Amino acid sequence: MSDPDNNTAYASKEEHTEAISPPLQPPAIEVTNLARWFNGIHAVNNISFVIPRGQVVGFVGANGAGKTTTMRILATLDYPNSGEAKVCGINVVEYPAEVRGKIGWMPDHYGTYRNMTVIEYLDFFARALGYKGQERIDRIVEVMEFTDLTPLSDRLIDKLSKGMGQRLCLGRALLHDPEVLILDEPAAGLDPKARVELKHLIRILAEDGKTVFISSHILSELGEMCDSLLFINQGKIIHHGDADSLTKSNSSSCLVEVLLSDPPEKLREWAMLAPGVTFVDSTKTGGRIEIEPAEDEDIAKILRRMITDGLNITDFHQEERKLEDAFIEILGEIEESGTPAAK
Amino acid sequence: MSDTPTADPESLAERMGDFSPRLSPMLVKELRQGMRTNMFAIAFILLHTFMMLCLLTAMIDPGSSDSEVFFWFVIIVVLLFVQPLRGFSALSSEYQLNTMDLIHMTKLNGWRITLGKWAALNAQGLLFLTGVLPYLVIRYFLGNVNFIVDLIALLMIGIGSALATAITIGCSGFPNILLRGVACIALAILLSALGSYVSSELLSSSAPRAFKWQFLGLMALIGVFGCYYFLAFAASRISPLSENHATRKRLSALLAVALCFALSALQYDSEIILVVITTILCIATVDALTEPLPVFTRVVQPFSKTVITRWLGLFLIPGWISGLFFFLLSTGILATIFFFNEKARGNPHELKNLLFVLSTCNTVVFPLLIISLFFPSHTGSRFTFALYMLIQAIIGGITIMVSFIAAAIGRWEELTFSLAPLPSVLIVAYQRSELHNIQFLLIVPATTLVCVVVPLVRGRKSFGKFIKHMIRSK
Repeated sequence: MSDPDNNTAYASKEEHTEAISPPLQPPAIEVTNLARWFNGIHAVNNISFVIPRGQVVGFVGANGAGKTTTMRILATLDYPNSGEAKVCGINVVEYPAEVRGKIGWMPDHYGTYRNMTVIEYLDFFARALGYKGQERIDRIVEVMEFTDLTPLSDRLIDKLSKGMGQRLCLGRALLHDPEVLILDEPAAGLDPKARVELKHLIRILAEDGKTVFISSHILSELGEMCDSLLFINQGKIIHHGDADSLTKSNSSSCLVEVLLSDPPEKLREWAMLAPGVTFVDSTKTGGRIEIEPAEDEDIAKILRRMITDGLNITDFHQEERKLEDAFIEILGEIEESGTPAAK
Repeated sequence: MSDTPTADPESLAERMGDFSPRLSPMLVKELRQGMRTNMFAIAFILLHTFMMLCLLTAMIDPGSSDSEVFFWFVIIVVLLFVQPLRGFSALSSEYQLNTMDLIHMTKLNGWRITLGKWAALNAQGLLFLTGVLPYLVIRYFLGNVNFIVDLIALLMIGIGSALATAITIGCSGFPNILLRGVACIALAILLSALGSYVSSELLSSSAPRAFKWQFLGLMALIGVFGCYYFLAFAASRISPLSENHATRKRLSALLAVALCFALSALQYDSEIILVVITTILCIATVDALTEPLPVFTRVVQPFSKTVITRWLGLFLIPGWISGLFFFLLSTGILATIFFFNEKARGNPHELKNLLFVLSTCNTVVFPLLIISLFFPSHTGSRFTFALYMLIQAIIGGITIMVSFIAAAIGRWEELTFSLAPLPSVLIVAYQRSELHNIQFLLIVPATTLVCVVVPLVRGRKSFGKFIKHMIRSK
């Protein structure tokens, strides 16, 4: 089976490498024709991509798409059947110990110990990372302050909430001040407040110059956090690009949400008679319409006409394409043609 | 717990200074956790309660042997059963808690992880031992007690506890509880049988006094090798494939064999030495034959430097392919030692005995043949060891059935001959003095050849890669 995604991946590879990385520094992550299969089933199928240093890159895909397998290979916890993966220019298979010094890994299920306090947990990992004496204390103090765990230092880990546990896990991953962070579904199962906190911490890390490779199911969150997104489906990379390009629609029409003080049926009736307007769906207080062509002048003209036709409009705004819609659209394109559209 | 914890370095240093920074991180972690567990607290309290009961009984009735028996029973239960059992899920619990990956991301390798866990359990065992010492002294003052003998017995129990803990930790790397249990029981039976055989031979009343020191020497050797090997075994099973633990394990087995051989020069009973050597090589070979592949360039590189290192690599590189060559080496070593041993004794049954030794070796390798024929995808996978144990258990069951049927119908010779390719049947045949047919001289080496060649042919892709690795220049 041919792999149409490689061209896209290679194109983005050159583009990103030239634009951001200093000429002699290898990229943070470089994956070339990576494949991993279990009992003949390809979990990761010949994927290639490059993540330049200092970027936050989201890794998006359905369950079983190959996200965790790819991340585990990058974290030296699994090995590929073919292909190559490098972190900061170091081969993850041949030099795992060196790679581990460069990365901070946060799995989807953070591990907890019974009969151990927060501070003992961090102390164990600091010792295990080779820190001694004052340096060990300083590192622990730093990550506890960064993750706001100081008030919880003597609490038993199994008494922590999920959000606190994720913060502790992030703190553990940061103990050795890694250059690259690989975070597998860090926001899974968190309440909204904990999600916001986690997002905030990741943003600070990115500002600090760390490369963050993060997977999640919640695309809107990734869109806000990430410089670029990698879409993976059935073990193949189907898109690599920035979030903005995905949210901007390529079509000639635009979607507008209209809220009325009139019954929503009035909007439907009006849209059926208006040229260049298609009714999409109705909501409790209005509905969504598609306007074609999507030039600003045409949209303004439609709004004026609605008012003159007696519609009592309370809100009128253009809707941005959601990342979820973009992801589904890309999947649809693949199903139709077998190749993703170039973005 | 403090009310308002602060993160200032001084208060942190104070709170984390309970263990020296020089101690292994894993040891510190396990001690912090282990001494908070209910099992440790209950065992410690119960031990002291029973010890006090023993003392009271001894005070009331000083001549009673019941208190003596009870005293040792409690110590044996706590140190040889309860304490080692705590190691049964030492490594698998890390998998269950999803923490093993996190530990792998640190500078702790497989060996440091298992050693730390073993050291922590033994440190707690040492607490038990030292806790028992005052009672030992008081018993001495109550009379009828040889203090030095008791102290040596306590030391032997301590060594036994360390070995039993190494076995349970060694098997705890397998996530499956059934496999862990079977492997632990099989090893415990094997080593207990070996221990009692050596003790009965060397400590029999007719044995000269010097034999008692030989016994201690041999037990120390078995103890040290056992502890090292089972911990290294666990380390290799939990480590990433890019870490090479196989070379050290196999070399340690060969070193133990060499030391045994050296002991035999000190007028040890050569039969005992041979039994110990066979056990050591069998354990090392089973491990080598079930090691997973692939082998990474980084692991092979040190072996591709000179012709000598390449030859050494043939036996010492991780994975079942070199394991097969290690098996051949082990068979060769055993056969040579056995042959010269028998020659020196002038034994008229030397050929029959040699066939017995070769059949024992074939029994070890035979499950690999079955795996390569019927489960080729599991040759050199993480599940090979489990499959190997299952096949070995089935073959053992068949052998027992055959021996029962043969005993019932009285047709041993025909049955043995028809089932001769099953090496374990030949071992039973030898024990029934039925291994005299000259055709076995052909069957036994042929079985060895088939057991080695077929897996290599079935796994020719991996074998080709292995050879390519070996040939590739530095």
